[in-house]
Formats: sequence, structure tokens, C-alpha cells
Amino acid sequence: MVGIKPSFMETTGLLLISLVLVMVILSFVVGNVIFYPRSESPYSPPSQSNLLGTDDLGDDVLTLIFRGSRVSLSIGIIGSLVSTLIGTVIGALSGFCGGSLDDILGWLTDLFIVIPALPLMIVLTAYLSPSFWNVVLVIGLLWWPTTARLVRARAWQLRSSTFVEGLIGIDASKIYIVFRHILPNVLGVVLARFVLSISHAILLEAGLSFIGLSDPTNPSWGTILHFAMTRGALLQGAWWTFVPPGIAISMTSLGFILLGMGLEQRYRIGPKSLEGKI
Amino acid sequence: MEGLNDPAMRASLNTSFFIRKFVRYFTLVFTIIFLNFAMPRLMPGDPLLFLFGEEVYGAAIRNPELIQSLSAKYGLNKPIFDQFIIYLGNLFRGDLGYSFSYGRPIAEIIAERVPLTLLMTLPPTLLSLVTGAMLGLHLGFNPERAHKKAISSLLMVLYSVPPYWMAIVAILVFSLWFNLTPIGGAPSPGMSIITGVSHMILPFSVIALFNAAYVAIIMRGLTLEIAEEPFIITAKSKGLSYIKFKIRHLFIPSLAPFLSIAAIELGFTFSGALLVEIAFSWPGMGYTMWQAVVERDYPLLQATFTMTALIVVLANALADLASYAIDPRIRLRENGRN
Repeated sequence: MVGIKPSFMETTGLLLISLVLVMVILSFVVGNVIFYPRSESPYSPPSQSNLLGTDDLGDDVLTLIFRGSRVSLSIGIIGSLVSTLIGTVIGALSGFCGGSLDDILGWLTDLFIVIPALPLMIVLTAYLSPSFWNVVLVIGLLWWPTTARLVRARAWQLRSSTFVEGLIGIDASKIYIVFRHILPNVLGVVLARFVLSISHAILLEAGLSFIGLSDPTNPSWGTILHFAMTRGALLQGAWWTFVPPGIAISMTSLGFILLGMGLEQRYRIGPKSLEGKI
Repeated sequence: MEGLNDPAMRASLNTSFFIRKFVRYFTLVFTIIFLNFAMPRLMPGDPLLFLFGEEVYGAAIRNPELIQSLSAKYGLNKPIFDQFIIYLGNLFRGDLGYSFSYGRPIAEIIAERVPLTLLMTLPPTLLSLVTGAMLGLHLGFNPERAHKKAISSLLMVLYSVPPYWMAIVAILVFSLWFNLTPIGGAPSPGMSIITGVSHMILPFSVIALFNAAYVAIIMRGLTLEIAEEPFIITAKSKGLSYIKFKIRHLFIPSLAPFLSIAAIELGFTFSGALLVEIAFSWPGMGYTMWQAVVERDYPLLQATFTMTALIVVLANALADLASYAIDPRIRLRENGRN
């Protein structure tokens, strides 16, 4: 039914993701060996000694990008994991149990799908202080509604299928059916959403950092962009400080979007199931 | 089904639809206002800091009398429910608090900046809704053709690029290297038309490009999905003309789901546009938000969140009404459900 061979989209996505993974591994393995120490001259353009030039403090931009890959990717993956877990449980319970539980969870999903997430994340992160785990938490707690809606739609379909009706007929408990039979059958949707949410989480983290809400001692790609904006690299024309981090963000999110959309096609998740119940 | 042709039945269905929608949007607005009330009070840390902003808080902790008077104004020594009533009262009087980084009432700042945000986001968003929908419809029909595949890939790339970064690169290329457009800032009343337009070209293009890519991707997916429905096969086998087929059987049926999905994702694109403001130093809501973060001006930050959220909710309500007007199936589904 589902082909094993990856599609063109999935292959390209995987290729881009592995490039980023290579970057992350390199940043650990070779660490300070091939990377350059702080040079004396701020905003020096790309050269033999600093392949991507230096920033306003004379730090090597390439080193910053490699180190930033760890932060951006780990926040992306963990944030997406949290949001996908929440969305899956809410969606599966809501779609399978129906009734008043579905009404309440559907109402909650419906509220949080409309309220713009990024501005709310900005306010929350500003209050909580922008540490690594706070950013993960804020993204994870606010990015679940779309997942919940898609999982709910699939669970709703499954509920009326014959094998589930059979299980209900032999008096299996609801919790048992949800965890043993509904969840395994929505795994395709969940996987696709997990991969797509990684790209969203990376973009959201970059947005938060760009506005100045990130841990400056552990700079992500967005943080590099923030400092380039606030410390005048743009007006200096020091393109090497802000073009590469943007390319890194775009490339990574493109990788996960392609893979995620490829998976959506594989599991036949159309955009129409996004439409709400209300 | 037949009941829908009976005018009395129809009117009562319409009423129940509008009541349900009204309840939905009322709850949304209430939730936003409640979040706004609850966030500074429930966060770890001193609520006084979050209610007044860093600057005033710094002054206030050295001055007990100031704390007393500020606490009295917000009713902070009263039970939480009374605080909420006081808060609602202030809100309805248009009192959003005072921004100490600007030295002005917040309501004044917001009133000045909302129009600038709308000026920056509305025209390119409307433009990209139309062009993106048309492009997506075209791409989703016979999607296997080579040029359509190429364009779709390009759209994916555009969609992955953060719009504020696209804005920065656009400034680098068009303002710094080629010196064609101003580096930033919004048009103001005293400007000539040409200068005003030159300020708007880059922000408009960036937002339109990002949104159009996004809208086209949604529409393409919908068209692919609708093309598999049985009524498409019927329409094809009837031998309808190409245009008639495309408009009546592909475009019209996809319009309502398209609107509701576009509305859901509107928050995402709108947030992107807010960040674009920062790159262009365009003093709208996003730029204000950024300044509030930098200055730790929490009351101002809260107010910008509330306003942006309300704008998104309003846009959603409009999209809801539009899909209801466009698609008879919505009326059936909305009213026949459960």
C-alpha cells in the first residue's frame, strides 16, 4: 500500500537534514581544532584565515554558525517532540472518545489554533527569561493545535471502522483501544507532523531569537541574526555576518518541510483534514 | 436536504449558525483578554515587575509610597476576582496602562501604530491571496508536468526562508548595493508620493512573496485533494470546456476550505510580517513589540500581543463569514452536524 522507496521530496529533505547533522557532528568532533580563535579585527571580510569573515567582536562567523547548529536543531527537535506528544494525545482522545470530552478538547484546540502563537510565545518567553528549556517549553506548549486537529480527524475515521467497532463490541476499555489500536494507526500522521513541526520550531526559535529572546551565551542562528541587526552589521554592509545564518535556517527548515510534506503524501494527509469541526 | 429550500427553515438555520459563531468569537476574545490579565500575575517572579515594566519597578522598589499607589490603581491587594473586574473596567475605558519607555499612555501608541501595521500587511496579503490561489490551482491540476514541479519546488524554498531575513537581504541588495530604495522607515504624511512608495516597495514585495508562496502551497494541496473527488470525474466525463471545468468544479469547491485553512494559518504569516517590520524599522506593532522586549517594557509588550491577537481573530471571523457566503456545503455541514 505504502511504497518503501522514498520520493524525490523525501530524498531531498533527508539530504539537507544530513548536511545539518554533519554540521552538528563536526561542531562537536573537531571543536576548536579547525575553527579559528577570536581574531583582532571586527567585521573583517571572508579570507583565508576566517572563511566567513568575523563579526562585530572579531569572532569567526563560521565557528558561530557551526555552534549555532546545535542550539537551533536541538530546540527544533525537542520542542517539536513536546508539541507532537501533546497534540497526539489530545487529538486521539478527542477523536476516539467523542461526546463531551471531544467538545471540550475541540474547543480548546479551536481557541489555540486561532490565537497567533508567535506573539504569545514572545510575551511568555519575555516573562520566563529566554533560557534553552524555557524556549523549548513555550514552543512545545503552544504548537500542538494543528497536530491535534489532524490526529483527531484520523482517529474519528478509525473509530467508525469495523475493527474498532468489534473491539467496542467485545467491551474493550477505551484507554486500551486508544493506546493499543488508535495510536498505532495514526502514527503516519504523527510522524509527518513531528517532522513538519521541527521546521516550524526551528523557524519559531529563530524568530524569538531575532527579536532578542534567546540565551546570548549559547547563541543560535537566530541570535547571530539578532546581533547583526542590533549592532549595525547591516549598515556596515557586513553581509557575511547575516547571510550565512539565514541560509542555514532556510536550508534546515526546507529539509524538514520537504521530508514532512513527503511523509504527508505517503500517508495521504490532505489539507482538508485541517478544517475544524466548528 | 430539501429543508434547505424552505425559507423559514433556512432562516432558523442561519440564526443558529450566527449564534454559534458569535459564541465562538466571544470566547476567543474573552480568552485573549483573560490571558492578558493572567499572564503577568501567574508568571514566576514579582507581578509588579511585569505589570509596570522594568524601569518603574526599579524606581518603585525604592519607594514604598509609589508601590502603594500603583497597587491601589490595579487593585493588587484585593482578591483576584476583584482585580479582574478592575482590569476589565480599565480596558473598556480604553486605559491600557502607561508605557514608561515611551513616556506615553499605551493606548495612544497602539492607536498610532496599528494603522501602519495594517498598511504594511493588508495590501500584500490580499494580493498574495488572489495570485497565490490562482497559482496553486494551476499547479495542483496535472501536477506531474515538469514546469509545475519546478515552480512548486521554488515555492517550497520561498516558504522555508524566514521573511525577516529575506527583508534584510533585500535591504542589503536594493538599498545598500544598488541604492534604489530607502534603508528603512515608514511613509509619513509630509512625504512626496514617490518617496512614500519607495518606502513601501521592499516591505510589500517581501510580504507578498512569502504569503503568495504559502497560499499557493495550500491551494495546490487542496486542488490535488479535490481532483480525486467523484464529482470531478463526472465533470470531466461530461466533456466540459477547460475553463468551465477549472472554475466551476475545481476552484469554487476549493474556495471555502481554502479560506478556512488560510485563516487558521493567518496567525503564522501575520507573525512573520511583524518580524519584517523590525528589519525595515517600520514603526508598527511588530517593531513596537521588539522595542518593548529590548526595554523590558512589559505592559507595552502585553498590549501589542492583545492587539495583534485581536486583529487575527477579526480576520478569522471575516474568513468564516466569507466561506459561509460562498459554499452551500458549509451551510449544510454546519447545520446538519451532530
